[in-house]
Amino acid sequence: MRVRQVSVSIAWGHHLANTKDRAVAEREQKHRTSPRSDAPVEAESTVRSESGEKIKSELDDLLDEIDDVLEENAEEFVKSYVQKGGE
Amino acid sequence: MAVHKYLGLETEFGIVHRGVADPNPIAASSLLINAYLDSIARGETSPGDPRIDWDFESETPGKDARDAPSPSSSPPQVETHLVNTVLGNGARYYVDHAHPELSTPECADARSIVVWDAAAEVIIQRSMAAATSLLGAGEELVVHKNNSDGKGNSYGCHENYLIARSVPFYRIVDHCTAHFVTRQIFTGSGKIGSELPGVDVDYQLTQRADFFEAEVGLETTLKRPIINTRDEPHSDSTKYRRLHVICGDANCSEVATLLKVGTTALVLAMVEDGAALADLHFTSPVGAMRAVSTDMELTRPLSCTDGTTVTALGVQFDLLECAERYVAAGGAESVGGDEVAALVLGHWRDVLEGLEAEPMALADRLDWVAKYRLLDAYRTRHSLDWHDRRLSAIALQYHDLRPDRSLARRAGLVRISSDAEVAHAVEHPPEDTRAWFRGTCLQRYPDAVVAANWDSMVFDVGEPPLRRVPMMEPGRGTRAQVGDLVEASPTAADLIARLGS
Repeated sequence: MRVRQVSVSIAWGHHLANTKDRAVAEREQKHRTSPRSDAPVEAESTVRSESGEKIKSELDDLLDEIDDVLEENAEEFVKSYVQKGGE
Repeated sequence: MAVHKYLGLETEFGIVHRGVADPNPIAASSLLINAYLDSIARGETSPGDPRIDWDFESETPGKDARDAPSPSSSPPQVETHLVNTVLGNGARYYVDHAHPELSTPECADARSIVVWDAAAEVIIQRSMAAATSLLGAGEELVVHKNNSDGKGNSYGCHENYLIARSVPFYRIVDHCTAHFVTRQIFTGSGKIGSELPGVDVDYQLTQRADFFEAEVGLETTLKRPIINTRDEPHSDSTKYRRLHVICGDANCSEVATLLKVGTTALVLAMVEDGAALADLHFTSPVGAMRAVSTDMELTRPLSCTDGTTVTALGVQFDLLECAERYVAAGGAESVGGDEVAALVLGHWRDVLEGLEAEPMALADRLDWVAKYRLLDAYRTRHSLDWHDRRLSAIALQYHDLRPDRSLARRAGLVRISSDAEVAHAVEHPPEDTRAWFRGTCLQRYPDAVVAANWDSMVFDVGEPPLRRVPMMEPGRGTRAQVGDLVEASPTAADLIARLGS
């Protein structure tokens, strides 16, 4: 595409008195209104305080689930999984 | 004070076209993205995303941050003929080499990166569903968020950080090398075995360490360096650099993503502000990278040029304590404010203390631990050898992005984002960076946007010439700055007139 273009000269936010303060205030506002990020951490510490038995039984359930969701012909799938190098 | 650490992630995904005799990954990647764009155009997914071509006007991936580029450097080729588009949430979605790649919009802090990275996973999931619905019976596109096929081929998850050009590049190299080598203890996504000849390990922390062969350089596809010197700021080059980090793993764990990006932003801010960081030079940075990745005990001594040794955990505790002092002294602003800094520092300390006491207790936060726990338990239950292909299949399926197949989703990983935030981020740009202007204009004036890229947009206002709006400041073009102006402009012509007035 080589159509003639002109650059528009812009002073971003020049119509605002103090854009820096506005940007910072906006960020702070965003974080205040975001769901509290420490909520899951509290849940996680509860999990950690549970007995080793419970954790082991959860792991057993997870292993059963892996057998259910593991790709059919998983071994063939992983054998044929070849990607080209990227980047 | 350090310049604001605007951040972005670019993730190359693994892709498989199942059910055909001779799959073509380039065609599959194009189909994946085009199917998603078509589903948007038909109104099946998010509203308003037009099909806008990426504008290559300012791409200079071959430019080197060092003064004298190495003669062996081979700059990457930009493939302009493949699908390459920009989404209504400000992200870039394209085919790179033989992979689908999605770059997050510019984010103002590490927590936002977590949210828009999770949104990228949702976009991939919708793309897979849309593409597979177009394929014949028994065919399917499957996408993995990983970095290696286990057979010696690697693809990247690159991080980008805005830094001041005034900081001497050698200082970035010194401190980032120490951080990148040692942060692997929490950034790793885990891998069975090694893809290097002669290395015999059952399991290692990272997917990527095997593929790094140099300390500093311009390459990304061969002889990969720990510090990449690509000098392509996508912003005002007189003021900024964009540090392009290629040595990290793609993470399924949100805590790992938060820490990968959040700790690195803090280290860069401290370097920029001249904080008192330890002077640390590994005798062999490449050897240290591999040594850390293959040491599940986290105790291996790493030799330094001054004759001392350190451990990865020790270096990370030192960096954490420096960062805690830096933030306590008012350093949080450039990484997104006190709340985000506290979130990153809190997880950083919890994870390091956990790694020191009992790494397996971090199975709900770190990918390499979560994956190891699954593999080791399965191996024990079925009395398998580490070379058993069933374990390889589980390791691969950890990264499978199909919700009904993903094992990472079933591993009990702690979330940082909420589902509602992620759903919003699929369709909306961050409000506190220039991505807001890009994404909002694409949605509001779809017929007038001719092209877009990171640092400009080109508009057709109904009469020649086309108008290019430069966006050389990543922090300009936020909702706070231009929201009212955009709101008051029913057409792109109105907008350009108001912006230029």
